Amino acid sequence: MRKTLGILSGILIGIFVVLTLTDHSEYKIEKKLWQMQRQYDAVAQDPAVVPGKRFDDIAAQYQAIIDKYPSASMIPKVRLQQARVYLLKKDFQRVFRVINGFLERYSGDPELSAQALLLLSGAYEAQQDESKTLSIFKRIVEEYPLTPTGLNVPLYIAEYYIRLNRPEDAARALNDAALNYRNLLARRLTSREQFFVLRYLGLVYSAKQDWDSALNVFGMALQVYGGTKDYIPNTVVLQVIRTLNTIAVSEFKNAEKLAVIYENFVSMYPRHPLNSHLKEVIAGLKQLKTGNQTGQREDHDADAL
Amino acid sequence: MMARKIPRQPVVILKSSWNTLISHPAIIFPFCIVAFLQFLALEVLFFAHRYPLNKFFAPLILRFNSEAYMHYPYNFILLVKWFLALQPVMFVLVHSFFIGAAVIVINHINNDRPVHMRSIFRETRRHYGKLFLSFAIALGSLMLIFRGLDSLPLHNMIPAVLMKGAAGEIIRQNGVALLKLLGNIVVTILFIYMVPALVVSEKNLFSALIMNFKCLVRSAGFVIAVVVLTSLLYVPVILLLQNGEIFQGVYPEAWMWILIFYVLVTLMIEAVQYTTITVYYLLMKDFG
Repeated sequence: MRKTLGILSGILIGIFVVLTLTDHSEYKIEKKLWQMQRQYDAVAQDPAVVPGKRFDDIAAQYQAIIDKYPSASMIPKVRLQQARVYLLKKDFQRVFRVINGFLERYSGDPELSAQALLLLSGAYEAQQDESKTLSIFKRIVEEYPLTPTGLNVPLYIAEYYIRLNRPEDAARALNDAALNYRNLLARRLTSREQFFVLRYLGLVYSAKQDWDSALNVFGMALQVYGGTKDYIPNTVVLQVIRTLNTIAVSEFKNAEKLAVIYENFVSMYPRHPLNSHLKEVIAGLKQLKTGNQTGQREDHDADAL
Repeated sequence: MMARKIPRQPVVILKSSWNTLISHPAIIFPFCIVAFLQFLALEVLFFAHRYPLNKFFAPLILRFNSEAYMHYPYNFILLVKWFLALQPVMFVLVHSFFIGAAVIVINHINNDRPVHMRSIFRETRRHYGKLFLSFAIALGSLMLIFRGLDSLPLHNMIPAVLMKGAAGEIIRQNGVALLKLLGNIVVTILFIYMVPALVVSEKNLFSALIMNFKCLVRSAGFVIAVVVLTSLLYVPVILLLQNGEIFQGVYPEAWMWILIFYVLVTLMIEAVQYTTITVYYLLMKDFG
């Protein structure tokens, strides 16, 4: 019996050792980066009170990862994170050096290039150099319009003006963003691209508190492209559903219209994995509608009395 | 091992069962094999997102979850989810066989018969079909209870002051988990004599079910006390599983230790419960 237990323990240990040794994934780097992200988050909370050496230590740890695993797929993200540490330290020369090197190295990757440029705009913003900040924004929108970062930048410009406490410029930026997304929609785009552009256009309308247009645009994104699961991950579709719920119930108070959108979606994509969730939401929305009607009737009766 | 008179105090019997377990490691052996299989499953799931196991598991992870779960630290969330989802299967397929084997070992010791694990497992194999079905019935009953609990309007049952905000949600989740433990205790009590009736008295499934309830009626207080007392050990495990998310942002590997703790505690509870109940069953049989 003891022998058997010894053998079983040996099997467990053996399998653990073999699987650890044969593992060629980037698990170790992921773990190390996660631990470093926690350090980064800690210093990012209030960089002004963090001693400069602390930033250098963190940047050096990122450099150690880059040196140890130069060909790992996560290295571009590590380099960007290193630049972010220098940005927190307000060591702009190093930010420019890292980003320029990065742009040369990863010029073939539009999303990485857009992310690097956005980081660069952060450096100019921290230097309160508005013209250079805006020119970088413009460059991202022009050169990388359909990357996730490129799609986000038109809205980001509005946020930039809000940070500067210039609501009129922010409103103008929102109008520009809406125009930019509508222009993109006029191009020949894939279903996935159309979905994401519509999603951003919906966000612009939400920011403008144009709830009717926001509901229409998000509804269109969901109904026309949301069910093509080969292109759109369900987690993203779920985010759109949550946004629609918030807009329709809390802001626009049009549960009926939303129920119709969801019913259309369910009938268009009868096998979609989110349908059971949507059916529950539809039931809830109908209940809400009945409740609202009862409430309105009671208010009316009270007024009549 | 046997007293001449059936002692009624559950604590006395529990203590005697514990001594029996310690003095006869052969009873623990089947539980050690269950532990091995559970740890093997845990190990496979731990490495599921890494090469070479990701060749098989990656498509499943991407289909049923998302890309994030292929990476640290979300892999631990998936580990817990999949490991707990595997438990009903393990319960019906694996626990049924090895608990049956442990009960046969106790019967052999009680009858002063030699304990050869190979012949014990051979004997268990003869009863495996019945054991499998009885565990499946118990699991089905448990699922029904869980479904009933899920449909309860708990928000209306717990005072509103306890249900507000994030704290209220934590209270609700832990409350539901503890209610489910209560459901688990009820099902364990209801079917506890099934295994001894199947493998010691060699009854068929239907007769074993009737005998199970007859024995339960005769010793309801004792069984309830034994099962409730031993199941209390589950409370820390359940609270850790329910609130393990607090480790997620600090030390995600904690999930692994929580699951190891869960396996060990589960097997310890099962070993003590089934030894106690089998000893008591044999006493009842001896004393008519």
